[in-house]
Order: sequence, then C-alpha cells, then structure tokens
Amino acid sequence: MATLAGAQTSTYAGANAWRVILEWLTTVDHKKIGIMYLWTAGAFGLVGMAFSLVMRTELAQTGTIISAETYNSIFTMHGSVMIFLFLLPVGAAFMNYSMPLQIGALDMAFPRINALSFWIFLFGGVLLTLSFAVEGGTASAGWTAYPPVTLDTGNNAEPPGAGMDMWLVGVILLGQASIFGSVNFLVTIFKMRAPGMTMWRLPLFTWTTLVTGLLILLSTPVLAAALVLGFIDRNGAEGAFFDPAAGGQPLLWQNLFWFYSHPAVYIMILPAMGIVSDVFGVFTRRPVFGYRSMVLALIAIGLLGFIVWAHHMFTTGGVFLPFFMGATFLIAVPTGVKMFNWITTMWRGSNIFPTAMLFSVGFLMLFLIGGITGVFHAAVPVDFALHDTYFVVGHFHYTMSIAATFGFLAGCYYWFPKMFGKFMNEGLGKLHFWLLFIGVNLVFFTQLLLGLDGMPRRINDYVANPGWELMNMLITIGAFVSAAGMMVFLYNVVYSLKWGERAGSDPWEGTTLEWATTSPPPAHNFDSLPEIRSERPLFDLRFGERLQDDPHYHVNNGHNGSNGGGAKQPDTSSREEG
Amino acid sequence: MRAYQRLWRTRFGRLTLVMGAAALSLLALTGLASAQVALPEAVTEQGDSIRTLYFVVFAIGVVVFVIVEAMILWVVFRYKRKSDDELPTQVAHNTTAEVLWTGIPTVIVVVLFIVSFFVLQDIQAAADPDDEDVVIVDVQGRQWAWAFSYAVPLGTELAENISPDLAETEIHLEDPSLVVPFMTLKLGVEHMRVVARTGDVVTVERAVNGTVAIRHRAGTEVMRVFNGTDTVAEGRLQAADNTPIVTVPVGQMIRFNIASADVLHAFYTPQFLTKLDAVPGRVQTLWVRVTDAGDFMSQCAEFCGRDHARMIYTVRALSPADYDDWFEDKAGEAPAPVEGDFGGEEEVEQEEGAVGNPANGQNLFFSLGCNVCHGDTGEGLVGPTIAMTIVPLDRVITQYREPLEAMTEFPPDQVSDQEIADIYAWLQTVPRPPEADIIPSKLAELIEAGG
Ligand code: HEM
Ligand SMILES: [Cu+2]
Ligand SMILES: [Cu+2]
Repeated sequence: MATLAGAQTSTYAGANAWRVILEWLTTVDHKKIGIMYLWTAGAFGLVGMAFSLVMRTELAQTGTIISAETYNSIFTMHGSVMIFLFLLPVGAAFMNYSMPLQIGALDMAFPRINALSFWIFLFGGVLLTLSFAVEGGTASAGWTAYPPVTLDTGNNAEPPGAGMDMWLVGVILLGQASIFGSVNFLVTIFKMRAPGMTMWRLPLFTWTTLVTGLLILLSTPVLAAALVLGFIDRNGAEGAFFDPAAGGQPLLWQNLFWFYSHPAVYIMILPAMGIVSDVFGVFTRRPVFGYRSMVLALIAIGLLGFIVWAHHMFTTGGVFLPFFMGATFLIAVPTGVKMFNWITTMWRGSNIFPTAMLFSVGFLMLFLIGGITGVFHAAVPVDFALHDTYFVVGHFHYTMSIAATFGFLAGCYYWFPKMFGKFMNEGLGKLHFWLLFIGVNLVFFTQLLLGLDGMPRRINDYVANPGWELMNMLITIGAFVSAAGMMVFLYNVVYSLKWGERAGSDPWEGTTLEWATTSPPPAHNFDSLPEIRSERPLFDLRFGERLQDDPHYHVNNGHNGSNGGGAKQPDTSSREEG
Repeated sequence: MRAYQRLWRTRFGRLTLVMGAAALSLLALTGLASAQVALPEAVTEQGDSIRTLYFVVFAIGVVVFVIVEAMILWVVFRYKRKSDDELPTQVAHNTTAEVLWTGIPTVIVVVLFIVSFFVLQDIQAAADPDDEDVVIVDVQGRQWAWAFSYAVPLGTELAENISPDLAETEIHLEDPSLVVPFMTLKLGVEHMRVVARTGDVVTVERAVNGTVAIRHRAGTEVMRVFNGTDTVAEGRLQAADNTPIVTVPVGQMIRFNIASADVLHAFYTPQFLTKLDAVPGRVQTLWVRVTDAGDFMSQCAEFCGRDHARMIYTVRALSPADYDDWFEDKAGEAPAPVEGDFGGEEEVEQEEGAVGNPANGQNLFFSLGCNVCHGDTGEGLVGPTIAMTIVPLDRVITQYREPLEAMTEFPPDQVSDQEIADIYAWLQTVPRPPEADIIPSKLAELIEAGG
C-alpha cells in the first residue's frame, strides 16, 4: 500500500518498467483497479470462449473426440469461468471505473478495500484455473455443482477429487471479493456524491450499480454459506448437509445456490442495462425516457429477484409451484417497462449509431428474445418439458450471457476513449458487431429449437437423428463465426491502443460527469466540476441555453428538484493518509 | 372506410394500422411456424395439455416479439440525426404510455398465470394415490443405468409397521382371498406403499444411501445401459433398440415412482412433454396416461456424472391386449429375489435369444474368421480366451457392434443377434483351457469386477 494514488499515474519518460508495474500492483486508484478488472476478466472471457469452442467441436457431430470426463470438465469450467471470472468481474470493472466518475467523486469510499477485492478475485480465479493441474482435474458437475454428484457419498461412482474443493474455495473467495466491492459501491454512492448530485440525478448506470451492490450484499453471503457447507460435506467427518446417505438434503443446496444465483443473473445483467441506458441517452440527445420509472423498475426487478429462485427447481418435486410461477411471471413486467423506455428514448431522437450504439441496439434485440423465452419457462407445465434441455441453454445465453456481453461490449466502445484517450476503430467495431450478432443468433436460436426437440443439456454426445445433427452443426458454425468476431475485437483493442485516433475529454458529447474531465482522467479525477442540475449536467451545459424555451426541457429540469443534496466532497488528504 | 381514411391521415393512426396489419400477418405466420417451432407431438393426455399451453405462450410470445422488434427497427431506421446541431424533443415521460406498457404486460402475465395454473391443476389431477386401477412402475436411476420394476396390481395388506431392520426380508403372501391393495411400510425415511399379489415375493431392501427400495414383483426387471465400467467411456451411444425398456399400457393411468440409488437423475421422455427429477432420499411420483402405442426415446435429464449422456432408455407403450400378454410372460417368470446392495451392480440378464444353435455357431465362428484371433476352440491367440466365456450374451453382442480393444466391428447385417447367440451357445460347449494358458479378456475382467 505504499504508492499513493495521488502520485504520478502516467509514466513519465525514463520511468523504468518496474516502477510502473509496482505502481499498478500497489494502486488503490479506482480507475486502475477498474482497468485491471477489465483486462483480467477479458482474458478469462477469452479462456471461457475457447472452452465453448472445444464443446462445440465435440458436439458438431455425433461420436466423441474427447472423453466424457474431459467434456464434463470443460463445460463446467466454461460456465464457471464465464460467470464468476468474466461476467461478474466485467461488471465490477465498469462499476469501479465509471461510477465514481459519474457521481463526481475522487475515488471509492474505501480505496484499499477496493484493491483487496481485486486481488482476492484474482487469487480465486487462479485457484479455479489451477484445478486443471490437480489429480482428477477440475470440478466437473456444472457451474451449479448440484450434490450429491459433487460428494463422496460412498455410492457416487466417481467422486470428484481436489478440483472440486478448489472450486468451492475459489468461489468463496470470488464471493468475498464481490462483497467487498459491493460495500464499496454502496458507501461511495451514498456518501461521496458531488454537491448537487441528488439521488434523482444519478446517472442510470450509477443507479444500476447501486441496485447491483444491494443484490450482491444480500445474496452472496447465502452462496458463501452453501459453499462452506459443501466444503464441510466433502471434508468434514460429521458433515451431513447435502449427502442423503448421511441424512442430508440435496435439494437444500439447490435452494441456497439459487437464492444467490437468481439474483446473480441480475447482478450480471443490471450493469449492462445501466450501460445501454447511458449510451442511449448520449447518442439520441434525448433524456432517457421515464427516468424514474426506469429506477423503479430496477428496484422492482431487484426485489422480485429474491423471490423467484425456485423457478430453477420446478422439476425437483420439492417446490411450491404456484407461488414461484406467479412471482416469475411478474418479473416480466418491470423488464418490459425497461424495454419500452429504451425504445422510446430513441423515438423521435436525433440518433447516431457508432459501435457502442449498435451493441446497445443489439442488446435490446437479444434481451427481447431472452425475456420472451423466460416466459416459456415461467409457465410451469411448459417448463416441465423444457427444463434441462437446450432451450434453457438458449434462454440463459440470450439473457445473462450474450445480452450482458453485448451491453459490456457497448461499454468497452463507449468508455475506451475515456480510459485510454483513444477511440476504438469504428470500421473494425462494425465488423465485430455484425459477425458476433449473426454468430450468436445462429448459436442460441438454434439451441432453442434443439431444446424444443428434446435434446438435454450437459451431454457430450447425442443420439444420431437428422434434425439434431443438422442443428448441432449449425450451432458449431455459429460458435466459430462468433469467435471470429471476438478475434476482430481483440485486434481492434490492440490496434486502437497503439494507433487509435486521439479522443478529447468528451468525444461523444456525453451527458454525465465522467466526460467533464480529461481522457484519461487525472488521479484525483476532476480539476473542477460543472454545476449539477439534472441527471445530465453536461447536456445542460451544452444545450441548456438553446433549450431554455422548450417546456419539456424545463419540466424535466424542475422535476429533478433544485435542492442540492449529496454529501460533501471528502478532502483529498483523508485518502493520502493511506 | 371513412374511419379508416381518417385514421390513416395522422401519423399515429398510420402507425397503428401498419402495426395492426403486421400483428395480424404475424399471427398467421405464427400458425404456420408453430408447426415447426413446437414441442413434439404428445403421446400422453397430460402432455397434450402442456402442448396446448405451449401454443398459447408461443402465440403471445410471437406477437410480443414482432411488435417490439418492429418498434426497435422503426426507431432505428426512422430517426437518424440529420444535422450536427439538431436537437430532438426532450419529452421525458408520458404517463399514458407508461401506464399502458405497465398495464398491458401485467394483464398478459396474469392471464398466462391463470391459464398455466389451470393446466398445472389439470395435469396434477392425474395423481390419485387411492386409485387401485393404476399401473405402478418403479423407476430407479443410478450411475449410469435405469432399473424398472413393475407392481402387481392386486395385493394384500401385509403389515402396519415393518421395522427398518427388515432389510432383505422376504414376505410371502399366502392368503388368496385377501385383496386389500396396499401395505404401508414405515421405514423412517419415507412412507411407501407396496402393492403385491398373493404368492409374490416381496423383498424389502435398504439401500446404502438411505433410499428405501422395495422389490416386489416376480421377475423384477433390472436393465441398464452400461455397467459403469470403462467400457463405455470412449464408446458411442447405444443404438436405440438396445436400451433398457420400460413397458407400459396405453389407456391406463400409470404411476412412475421415481427414485435414485446415488445422485440426481431425471426421468425424461420428450414425447411425454414432462420430466421429474430422481432425488436420492425421496420417492417422487409422475402420473401419466399414455394415448399412443409406440417406442419413445427417453434420456436422463439431470447431470449425474461421467456417463450422463448415455442414460438412454425407451418407453414402450403397448396396446392393452399386447400389454397383458407381455405382463403374463413377465409374471410367469420365476420369482427371483434380488440379492446384494441395491446401489451395486446386478447380474446382467440373459434375455431372449440366449438359446442358440451351437452347430450353426461353430460354422459361423470359422466363416467369420473369429478363429484367426481367438483360436480354433476359442482358447485364445492374439485375442483373449473366450471358450466358456463368463461375459453375458448381451454384452457379447455389444462387443461385436462396438468392439472394446482391437477387435473387428461386426454390424448386424454381417452377423445377426441370433447368429451371435448361436456362436455363444457353441462357445459354452468348448472346453476352457487350464488357468495357466488363459489369455485374459479385458471384458471378462470388467464383468467380474462389476458383477
Ligand atoms: C458464442 C459463444 C458461446 C457458445 C458457443 C457457448 C456454448 C455453450 C455450450 C455448448 C454450453 C453447454 C451446454 C450444456 O451442455 O449444458 C454452454 C453453457 C453455458 N454457457 Fe455458454 N457459450 C457461449 C458464450 C457464453 C457466454 C458469453 C457466457 C457468459 C458470459 C456463457 C455462459 C454459460 C453458462 C453459465 C453455461 C452453463 C454451464 C453449466 O451448465 O454449468 N456462455 N455454453
Ligand atoms: Cu432465475
Ligand atoms: Cu444423468
């Protein structure tokens, strides 16, 4: 913790590489931590994608190329890596980087806990990855790790080895990292807003950070409890939580697991929703339609998210079906509200479509299919048919996997100039978008059809029949097209870092405070802040005068109240005591 | 016509009309598409209701999809920035619109909830534990196999309370005049009913994992896909006609008692349009009435470890007459109380075709060239000793079709199952060489290790 974030962030000429490395290793600057999260999560995302290509190669045709054990290990690690090491930390990356800037704060409330959170995350990730090297290999019971196949019950034919323990411990650590992160986000939002930044003036991305933080804080401890119990079951002599042979209850795990993991799907998707909300606001020159209903919908989703967990367990025979069916149907309503608000933001807008905007529109289209297929699952009898088939795989990829990924990619294109002072290449960006959009639809829509036709998930081989063979081949082709798209993206990142066009402090005519400082911002974030009179302070600055006579503009402005709220700026010295 | 023209004159009106037309043509398209984008044809009454519900959800889903997608495309293509200093309207909310797009979806989901709720009730109404006319099939999932046993539909009250120590106890029913259908066993874990018929042997077992397993029928049928040994790891999936079969009648209510010997599994027959998890420590019931005769490919649907993908089975639905014949056959078989722990391996059954023609077998042995590797009397050369092999016939057939180790593959058009049975019969007649000269067979080792 030696280096102060307030010290030089940029590498002046002659600085030796070690100093730079040391600076990054010891940084407590939220921006650097955010960027480290982004690189690490991005790397894990590529690993996860490589796993998916292995699976798709295996499934392209009937017959087997790799052993069943290997396939099971790969699909488990694909899911675990994508969720715990890609989606969750990518969300954390943007929340770390952008949220303090958006509220005009100097840093997070607890910069050192923030750094600790990153390093715990990295350690947990490494632990998961290392399980490839231990005897028996990685965990191989899916990212959901339903016992008792995870346990040595005495009659489990092939009890997993140390890899399973590493998975349990790794995920406990990752959960701890998220909890630290969430406390930080919440305290920062509640306590460190710039003067004038009232709650009703928070940018929508910051609102999603707030709700995400609450979800993490309330749900992750439950997962941690489940993981600890699982670890005891595997290693303690007397542990008997999930092992039926010892009087345990396998369904208990599922309840605890989904009590976390359903909110977790919102933990992954909400930041992506926040990003596209901001992007729509900027590239339409319109206020995001129904700002308050957006926030209320967010909160409603967050609350309902806690009472629908058992919709993952409809076929276990251990669920009170009508309640969970009803709650799950209900959650479609606030989700729909958000969809209509986004669309209406573009309605009569002055829209332009740089890559960030394309990905946001792509997000809408993918998420729409995800939402509608969710309603199929909510209808319990229909779910009896669809559960644990490829229909589920298609559904959750359309929502939390690929829609969220589109949101985050929009975030990359949108904030890249802020982070690195350079634009990403637009031409490559569009190529990336189209390849990925076509590829993922080929993959996931076909998976929906395959699931309707009854192909179960998590199988490494399937019965030869013409329909399944054709569909599986199409999915594999789609997977490789998507991967090609991601290669273009990778090239674009490298290319733009080196040769990208320079971007000024506000290259997109942004509306929120992160655009009120240089790109990249100085260590202390802001030299000065504009007056904050709405959720779009920079828009007001740019167009306020011209719009003075527009009644809607004024309504909007007055609507947000004029009483300056928010906490005082913490003085820089408090941070430098560290 | 006038109203139409008036509507067409405003932008909103035009939009409404265009959208309306789009929605209608979509509905038509939906009708067409639903033939393709649909769950399989159901072969049970319950599945039929589910399929109907599916179409309701599908129709609503398609209409919502098209409307929203059209809105997205509309705003994307219609509203583009025309000049750099263009400033669009700053309207930021509209109460009517917001109420509408909260209210309409709410109505839709409430309707869907009600419809789904009634369908759920409808399929659950099939469950009637007191119905004596139900065909009861016990299903047990295990790594990686299925065991099916069939209850005899008449029975007698055996005992009120049987202590858990009754493991492995046989209960012989003697009095033919008693026709009380159920006995209740209280075994601490579950209350379970057993139906048995006079003369049946009922074996109560307590499996290692705490599941109460009750074998209660003459000729309990234990079938499996694979025996859980290495033989399957690299293998291909079983041909559809070589899976365990659970036989049920058409037209009668069937109750599957679903249990597991080890980890989670799920009983899933796509054409039933339903599934139910097999949870160790619980016995769950799935009630269906099959409407169509036929063989229905089915598969485990809950990840259960290495060979999850291979837990394939077939539901064979027979017409009532065929079913009665089949059942008579089964019931006629000698009651064979099953021994050993329930979670373990069972002896592989040797089913029909076990009797072969040794003379024909001997001819085939040479004409196919088996002797080249296995020696003229199966004593073993390059290949292992197979004289008087202990490997059961069905596994031997599999060996021909999907050879383990370096044996040539023999598809059915080269040598039929019956012909293999002939060879098998002959091999049982040739003397086995002394222990020292035996060339060990991987297969036999596996069978021995497993059984
Ligand atoms: C084009 C890219 C992708 C392809 C081709 C792909 C393919 C697959 C396949 C084949 C499975 C296994 C299904 C099964 O056997 O049950 C799977 C599971 C999964 N995928 Fe993906 N995937 C892709 C992208 C993603 C992304 C971006 C995420 C998340 C960010 C993700 C998250 C998951 C999860 C959570 C599972 C479930 C794993 C489990 O069952 O434990 N996938 N995917
Ligand atoms: Cu959920
Ligand atoms: Cu299985």
